[in-house]
Amino acid sequence: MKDESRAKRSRRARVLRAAAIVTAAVLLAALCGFFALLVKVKGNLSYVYNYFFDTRGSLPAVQYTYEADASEEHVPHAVEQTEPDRYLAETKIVVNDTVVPEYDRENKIAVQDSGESRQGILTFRGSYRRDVSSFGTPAGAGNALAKSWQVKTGRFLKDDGVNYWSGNGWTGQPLAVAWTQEMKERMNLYPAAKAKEGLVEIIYPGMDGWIHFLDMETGEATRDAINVGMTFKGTCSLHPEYPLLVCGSGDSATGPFGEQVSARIFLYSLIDGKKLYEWAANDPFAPRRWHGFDSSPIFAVEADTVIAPGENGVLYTVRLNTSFDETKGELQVSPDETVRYIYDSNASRERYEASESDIGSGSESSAVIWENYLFFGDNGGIFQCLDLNTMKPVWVQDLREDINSSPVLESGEDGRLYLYVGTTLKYHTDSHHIGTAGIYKLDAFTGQILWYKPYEVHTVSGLAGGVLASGALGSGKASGYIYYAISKTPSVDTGCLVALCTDTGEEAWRVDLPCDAWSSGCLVYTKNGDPRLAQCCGNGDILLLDALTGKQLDKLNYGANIESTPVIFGSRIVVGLRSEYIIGAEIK
Amino acid sequence: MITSRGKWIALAAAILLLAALAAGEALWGGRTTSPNRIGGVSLGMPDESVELFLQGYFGLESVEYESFPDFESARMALDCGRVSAIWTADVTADYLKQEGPYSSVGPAETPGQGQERFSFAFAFRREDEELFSSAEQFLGNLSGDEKKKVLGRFLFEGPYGHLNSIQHRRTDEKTSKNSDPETIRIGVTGAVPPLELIYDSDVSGSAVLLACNWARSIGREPEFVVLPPADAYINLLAGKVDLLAVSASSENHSLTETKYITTTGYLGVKEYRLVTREKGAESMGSWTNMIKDNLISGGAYRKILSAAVVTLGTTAAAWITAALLALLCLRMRQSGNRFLRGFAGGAAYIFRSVPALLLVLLLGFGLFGGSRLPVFLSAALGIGLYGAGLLTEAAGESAAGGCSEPGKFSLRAFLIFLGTKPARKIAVTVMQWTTVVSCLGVNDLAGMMQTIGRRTMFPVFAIVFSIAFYLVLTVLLERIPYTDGIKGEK
Repeated sequence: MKDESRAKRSRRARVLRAAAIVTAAVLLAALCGFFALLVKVKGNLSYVYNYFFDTRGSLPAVQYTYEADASEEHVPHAVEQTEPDRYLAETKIVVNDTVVPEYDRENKIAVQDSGESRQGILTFRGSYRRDVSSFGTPAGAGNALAKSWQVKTGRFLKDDGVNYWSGNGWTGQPLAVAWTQEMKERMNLYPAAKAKEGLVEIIYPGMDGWIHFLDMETGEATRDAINVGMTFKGTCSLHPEYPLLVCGSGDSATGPFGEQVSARIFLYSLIDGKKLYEWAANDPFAPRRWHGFDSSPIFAVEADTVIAPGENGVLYTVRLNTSFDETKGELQVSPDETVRYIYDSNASRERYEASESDIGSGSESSAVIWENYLFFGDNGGIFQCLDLNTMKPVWVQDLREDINSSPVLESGEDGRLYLYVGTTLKYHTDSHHIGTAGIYKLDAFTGQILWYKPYEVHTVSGLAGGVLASGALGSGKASGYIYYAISKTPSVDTGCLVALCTDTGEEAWRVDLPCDAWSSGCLVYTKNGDPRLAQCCGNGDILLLDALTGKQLDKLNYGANIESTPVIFGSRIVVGLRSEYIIGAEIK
Repeated sequence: MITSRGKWIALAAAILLLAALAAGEALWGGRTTSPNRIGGVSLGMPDESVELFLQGYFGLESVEYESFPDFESARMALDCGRVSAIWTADVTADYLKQEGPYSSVGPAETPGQGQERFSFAFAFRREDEELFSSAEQFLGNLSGDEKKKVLGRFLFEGPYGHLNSIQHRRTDEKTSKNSDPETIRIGVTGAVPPLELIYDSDVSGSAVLLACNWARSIGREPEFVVLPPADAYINLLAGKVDLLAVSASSENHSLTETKYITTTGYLGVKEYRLVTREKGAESMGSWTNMIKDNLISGGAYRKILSAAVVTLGTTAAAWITAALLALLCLRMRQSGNRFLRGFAGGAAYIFRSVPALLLVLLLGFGLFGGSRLPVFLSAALGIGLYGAGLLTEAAGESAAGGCSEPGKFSLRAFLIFLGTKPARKIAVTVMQWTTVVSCLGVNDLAGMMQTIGRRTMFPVFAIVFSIAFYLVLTVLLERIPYTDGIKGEK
């Protein structure tokens, strides 16, 4: 009896031990599973849906029809749907720190050409219409890519004092310029760079706080890099006539005493690398405390004025009074008039108040200019046309979502101007952080929407889905198409590359990408006029596609996120990576 | 088995060997120079961030950064050649130039060159709006001449000549919020001379004087609390000080609001500089300084003595705690109540399994964090818990513990057990663990010698000195005849 009872107790103890071990194993597995889930959803359980379910992706394009424009004049003007008063509660003009009711610019701005240069790519997307995505023609057949060189860059402390910006970011397009020999002699280039025939110099402000100067062919430094001490995310602009560089810092700088140094816009002389002027720091007129200047500024050459939209909600025009003594090689500026345009939009204010504490709308995208009209969008979804000579809004359109993608201006065969504008999802999300963002075609004269091509996308962890890349407008055999990269669709980790018909917004072709793509695609035309599309991706790929069919011709992988837009000059491609390298490649 | 005499001989030999090692450090370059090594003191920014900042700001390709606990340590490191340069605000670089053979360079290019990068200001907690407003008013009413007079006393006329005339007594270590309406507790770090100068037990400096004048203008007596730079803001937010005399103004902050508020700046900073010793300046790294720097200079002997007393006190307090808790556990283990027996056994198991450092941190920052218990007691309790775990298990397993069998607990036997070898070894273990209490800010001997060693750049000497101290203490602990008078079964 005793033995039986002991055996029973022993069996029970064994069963209990086994049950305890199984329970512990299950609990451990559940804990590991939960941790893995947290890792998968980037630490936020509200994103579970996003990481396990796809969106509907591409949705049918929406067409808009209007009565014929009554105005015969081919100049921007408002119609009923785009009256500024409808969207803007207040506008303010500040001339040299004084608020004025009216403004009439003394040196009239009238940009006749697109700003496209014969010297290279001097601004974001090659022109002030943002429609030139490469310079020159590749020497080969244009069917293959090859790696050439890479140069180490660095990183820069973020304003939170802990994290850092690394390498080159969005939009981050390098400039590529072929200086004349006379200009080379005047500048502080190294002797080898001065002597090199056909030198194409890369000018590349980076997120490491430096402006790098490289030989596009070899990656070797062409002159001393400039240590600015502030991070650059956007794209700088080079004056079409003078060696004058303007670049805006994308974030504040912090220091070991916890101080913050406000972001600002710099003017540098490339004669000697000296800073000539800076402005827009900690602007007391700015409606937003957040200062950042990712937008690629515009030089209105005839008016000797630089135009720069800011993320602090202020659009700046600065009359420079540039003087350049070619014989002595002396470049100077004496700015004497800074004009600010500030506006308050009810719609974007409501969106901001619903999403963050800071009010006001700023501009991260680069503006487009035509004559005296500036076209630009903001983070609140407001897109407007501004008369730069009076600093009054001409028409205003509400695109309802964050406008990060820079607009592209097209001259239509009908004599009218059209704008292509992309949006990213920030405000109108459902409970699963899903919503639509897409591409709009606008009539640049009236601001009316002609078509809208929506994509259903995710927005998670502060990273918006939709269109961060700017459109590449086709010409020649690619006429009638505009190319865009869309992020976070249909899955949260994927994207796609699309060719849209400019008439309808419908897709001509679509290529799925295994990652986000913030970098703007660049069109290159072979000697035969065959269009090729070079696209950098978040997984480190540089894709080369047949722009007519979307067929992939070749691919390079650099193993690190490429947010920046590359510059293409002839056969050569240069772009910066987030992994602290600037790389050079070749189209064969 | 080693004899008692053998132990003393081994101890003497070890001390001699270690002394030779320390002498070797002095003779053969304990103070080394690295050309890319930059030192400095930041107000709470992580070292990696400062390194990154220095690379970007000064345009240096590679930087080896060494953070120092206070400014004097950083300056000493520069003097001794341990670092090739120290970064400072421009005001400190100018001050150092007055002080000795130092020169400085700024960055090649900075945003806003010629403008002020930021200003130094007072920092308050957000809830102290009244104090903040009065300080704002005080600074606002201060005329340019008055401000220059106060600031210039150190900035432009040379610091040490005035030191004696405006010393301010610093308070002892404070563990609770200031509840005295008659005083203002001002936090100083010494990170930015000559705004703050900390010399032995006195503080002075331009910002100190300014803060003093403000406090007296509102009818309150200033008390100064010296804080480690890395913990300055934590102490402010915890309420241990009412304000920080030196903080970067937050006028330019573009992100979310900071947890503290700063007044209008009283002194602008245009740039940071890298301060180096002038070429040809005599190095202070000769071996003859070793003993003087480590044991005498700057009142080191007083600090070492005080730290030794702290170590002895912590050891004693931890041991008493351990003995009392072990006694409690053992009594509970003898209880007829199953739950109490299990609880006591489990508690002892957990106490001896968790590293003492973590127990100290748990008590110091967790259970008794903030201002609930002096850090010394938190540390002693933490180590005491660990010792209690060890003692309980050792006594339980030992026949001499008087409680190896149920119902046979004997206090006398337990006291006798405390005098046995196993218990003495546990006492030594407890003593060894007191070396971690500096994590709570308790100035024990090991921590103090580490600080002195880093400051004087003779780390081996400082380590050797500590080792010798602990060796001697171990021998003493194992030899104290404190249970010899208690008679009973063994």
